[in-house]
Formats: sequence, C-alpha cells, structure tokens
Amino acid sequence: MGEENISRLVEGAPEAWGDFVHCHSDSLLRMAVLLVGDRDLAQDALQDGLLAAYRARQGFRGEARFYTWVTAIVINECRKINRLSVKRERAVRISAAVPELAHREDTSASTEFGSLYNAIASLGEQEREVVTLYYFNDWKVSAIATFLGLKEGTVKSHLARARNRLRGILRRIGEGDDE
Amino acid sequence: MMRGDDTENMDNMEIDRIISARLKEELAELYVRDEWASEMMRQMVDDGVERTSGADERLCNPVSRARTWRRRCQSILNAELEIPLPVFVTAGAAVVATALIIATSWQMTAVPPSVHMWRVSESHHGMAVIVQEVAIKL
Repeated sequence: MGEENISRLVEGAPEAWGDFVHCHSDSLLRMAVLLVGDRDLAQDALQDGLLAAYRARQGFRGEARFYTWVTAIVINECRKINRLSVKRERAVRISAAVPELAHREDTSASTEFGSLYNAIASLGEQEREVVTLYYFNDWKVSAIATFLGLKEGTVKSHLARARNRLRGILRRIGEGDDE
Repeated sequence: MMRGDDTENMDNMEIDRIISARLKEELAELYVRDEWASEMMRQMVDDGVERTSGADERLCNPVSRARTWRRRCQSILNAELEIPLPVFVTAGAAVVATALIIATSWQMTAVPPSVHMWRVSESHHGMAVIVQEVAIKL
C-alpha cells in the first residue's frame, strides 16, 4: 500500500476506506473467527474493529503497516468479545439446569469449519492468538512476540505444543483420505 | 550430513507449511457479504461515524446482532439468573417495540431507498428471529 493511499486512509477518504474494506475484510473476518470461535461474533469483532480503526485513523503513526495496525485493533475487539463470552459461559456453568445449552454452544462453535479450525478453537486464548498469527497471518515468531509482549521462547513453546497437536490431526485427516 | 536438529527443523517447516495451507483452505468459504461491507462503509463514511449514535452503530449488521442477542437471551433464560422472567419479557417487549418503531420510521425515509429498504428488511428479519426464539423458550 503506497504512502499516498495511507495518507488518504488517515484523512478518511471514502474511496480509500472502501478499497481497504473490500480488499482486507475477508481475511480479517477469517482471522477473527479463529480467535473468537464463532462466525457471528467474528462479524461483530470485525465490524467493531473497523469502526474503531476509522475513528482512530488520525492516531496512526506509521510504526507498522496500516493493515497490521488495523489487524491489532480487530484482535483487541476479539479479546473484548472473548472476555464477555467467558463471563457469559461462567454464568451458564453456575447453573446446574443447563447442560444442554453448554453442549449446544460448544458444538455451534466447533462444527462449522474443518478439523484444524476445531483444534485451534479449543486452545487457550494466548495460544490461539499465537497459532492464528503464525499459521493464518504468516507473521514471524519475533513479530508475534513483540505484538503479544511475550518472549520468543514462549511463542515457540506455544507453537511446538500446537504443532504436535495439529500434526496428529493432519495424520488422521490423511488416514481418512486414504480410506 | 544434517544434524538431527536440522532434520527436525525441516520437518517442522514442512508441517507448518501444510498446516497453514490447510487452515486457509478450511476458512476459504467464509467471506464478508457485499451488502454488509457497503452498509459498514456507509456507517463509517457517509453519515460520519462521529455523528452516529451507538444504537445506530449496533444496528449496522442487524442479522449478526440478532444472532448474538438470541444467544444472550437463551443464556439468560436458561441460566435462571436473578432476573425475574416477567421483568425480562416486559423489557424485551419494550425493546422490540421501540426497535420496530425506529425501523418503521426508517422505512418512511425514502432517501436513499436501496440502503434503507435493506436495513429495514434485515432489521425485521433479525427481530423476528429474537421474538421466535423467546416465544419458543416461553
């Protein structure tokens, strides 16, 4: 993205934002669905994230790529939604009367896409962010560490654990394809 | 000759490449609908987001919001939290009635018709989902 386009985005030019949304919203939505584990919540996160980015556009300092800056804002919206979801699920768990709801919510989050998505959706929040940024966004370990405020070794540990798990799933998928 | 670590790293790089490709393939069918993106842009740019109220913003994607609200309604109804059901139902009915009035007033606003008609039909659909779900629960 050229300097001229970035300055137009910072100014809030409609056509520049239109191009940005149409170029990047699919990718951001897919990242969000990995982070929140639900299509509708991901749409909410993307919508809130893009609106927040538009509002904050004049605060963009050019320290990262514009797309990376917006990605960070959408990730923050995903975290907010996850925090709300945790509270909601905790409220549900304290009631013994709702096992069927807990079951339904779990399955709604985990049957929509494929096996790797399901495995990533079941990880803890930090591990899920590391795995998403590495495998989906193709970020380097050092960039992930800086962005999440972790040591590179911690990021590598998360990736090693996730890789082992995902490797097993890939093996099972391969066996399924062979049958 | 490669050391064991190098072999392991090469193996990991190959696994990473496969995982990354497969993950992107799994999500390839997920995309933003054109009309939703257009509506989002209209909210951001045409009206000026600084002037947009929170309520308008939340209605930016009414179907998605309705699904989220439906889950929240289900959680509240099922979890038997300390909200008496009559209070919840009365408050819910008031919210739905207010939203219908707002939606109808949008319908009366004819410019630009395509945008407003889309919003109205989506809003009605979203609210119908909520009403149906609450009715089933009751």
